[in-house]
Amino acid sequence: MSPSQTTPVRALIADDEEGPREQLRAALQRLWPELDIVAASEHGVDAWDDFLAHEPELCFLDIRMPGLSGIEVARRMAATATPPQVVFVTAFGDHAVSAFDAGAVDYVMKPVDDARLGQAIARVKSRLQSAQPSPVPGPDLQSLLKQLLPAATAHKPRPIQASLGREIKLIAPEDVIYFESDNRYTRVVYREPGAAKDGEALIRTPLKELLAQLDAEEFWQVHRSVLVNSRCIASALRIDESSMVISLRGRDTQLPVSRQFQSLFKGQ
Amino acid sequence: MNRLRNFFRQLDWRVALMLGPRHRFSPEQWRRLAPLVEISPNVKVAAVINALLLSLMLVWGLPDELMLWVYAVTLLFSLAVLGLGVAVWRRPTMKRLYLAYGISIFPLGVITGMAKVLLRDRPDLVPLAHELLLRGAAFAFIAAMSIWVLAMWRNEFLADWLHDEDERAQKLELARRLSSAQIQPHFLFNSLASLQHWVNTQDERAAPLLASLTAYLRATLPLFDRQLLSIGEEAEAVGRYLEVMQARLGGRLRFSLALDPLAAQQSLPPGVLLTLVENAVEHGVQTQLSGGEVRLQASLGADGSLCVQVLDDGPGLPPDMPPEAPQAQPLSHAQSSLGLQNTRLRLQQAFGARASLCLSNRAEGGCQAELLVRPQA
Repeated sequence: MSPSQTTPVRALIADDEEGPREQLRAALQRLWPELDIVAASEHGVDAWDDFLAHEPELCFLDIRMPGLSGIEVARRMAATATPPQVVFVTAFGDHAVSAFDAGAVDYVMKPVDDARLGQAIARVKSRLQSAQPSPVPGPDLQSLLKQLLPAATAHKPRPIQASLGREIKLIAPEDVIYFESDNRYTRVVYREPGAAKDGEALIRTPLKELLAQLDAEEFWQVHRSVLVNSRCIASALRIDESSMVISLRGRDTQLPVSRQFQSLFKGQ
Repeated sequence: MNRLRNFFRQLDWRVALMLGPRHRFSPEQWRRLAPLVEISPNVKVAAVINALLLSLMLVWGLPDELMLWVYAVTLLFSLAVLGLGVAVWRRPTMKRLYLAYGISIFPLGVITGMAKVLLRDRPDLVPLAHELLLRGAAFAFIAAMSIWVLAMWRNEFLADWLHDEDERAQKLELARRLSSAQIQPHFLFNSLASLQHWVNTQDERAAPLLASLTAYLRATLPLFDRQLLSIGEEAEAVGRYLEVMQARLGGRLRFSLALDPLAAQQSLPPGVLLTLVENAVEHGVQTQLSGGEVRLQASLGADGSLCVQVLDDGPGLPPDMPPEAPQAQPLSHAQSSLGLQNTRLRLQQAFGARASLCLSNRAEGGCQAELLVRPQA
């Protein structure tokens, strides 16, 4: 039943500094050779995107990272359909440590030492075997993580700048209906005051970077490549076990909801 | 008219009408004042000699047969008043002061009453009684006044002592926070994490990082023993700090130092430059996906005014952060705000109103911390 018996456990590690990241990777390879490290992300935005791409069962997250902090990434992961086990990696003197101690969140200190990492691994293994949910989704821990969220999220989102021919258009985030990205561009669909039709523009900023700048309560990620203004969502429709679509207020467009984000729409 | 109003505003009626001392202390404050209640033996002996002499003065020139009696009674009251003095010394409160007033004046009333009754059929003794009454009144007056002065002085003294104590505690706290805030354990352990990995893997980046970290510690640890430090000396520590961060962050951090030689000789409270640069790295570079650049520049104006700027090209100030006095901030800003507050406080202690520190957003993006010290007038 447990994934560790059939396939190796897959893990993601994230740290914005190369030294600690590689040190952790080396220590993990030494202490848990069967562990499959599927991604070593260089910042929070990458960590989130790599998580969506690989769906690892275990994530080691540094706390202070550019883009999204480790705590923000953990909160997002906890809300998905496949919440992973999370172990925070932090340096001595970080204000989060005292909160972690109180909240029984798994964490290891940098520089990582084998004994402490071994304990964390043992705990993670026993939880993976008993298929217990990660400690992160509990309501107490969610609120704990929320308290620890750095002020970066309080930044006022800046307007989106899109080039339309020679004109550069400034789009206020609240006017955006949704973002959809492919490998190279992100398509912005937005309300144009006075116009009958919605406006469209292409920007170069990848979706994963946009979602670090936007308010997560306002813009819901429903797919790895789709970010929707929650006020524009009219309804969600379940097609079958694995697929779901949302329709937008007063528009014909339907957008897919990937399995990971279907828990956003659970009814009350 | 205004001066009159001001005069009355400064008036404390409790003191002006001699009603009693003005400061009241909480139980917690009394507990802190407890070690101050000891009265030195010198004061005790001096008080007893005073009482003996005062009693002697009061009986001077009285008929011999009365003298001994009056002396004994006066001495008894003197000792009672001294006892009250001790009580007021220990706790200069309104209650004890009024008790002392009562006890100094009450016997006078009793004696007057008794004299009236006893002397009804001895008119020859009336002048003597008047004489005694007068001396008694003088005694009561002196006793009451001394206790009043004692209570007032002692009350002010204790209040001052508490105030000084609070101030000293505040200074100590500031010093403690400074020394613990400056070498950030977070910085140290993160650097060690990189170092350990590079040592383990025999990466050639280990040796320069260790050298920079050592130089940083050597330059920083003695920094805070001094009142003022030249900009040139502190820039040495800043340079080492930036080298360590650059080794850790790789290509994400770029920096430059531009110090005008005359400006480098100027002095600032130690730690000021380091705090500003650390802030720029933490908020302007480390939060950026693509990294950033930090620039420290210092110049001296023609009029002798010093201008130090720390520039970064990061996301700029959060919109809710007032440039002058950042106070209540969310967690991650709380620490750097504390650093800024300390910095402002130390600049103020060193230069008074001549120094100013202002954070602003740059037109080309990023944040600018500008420190100005105007020359002494």
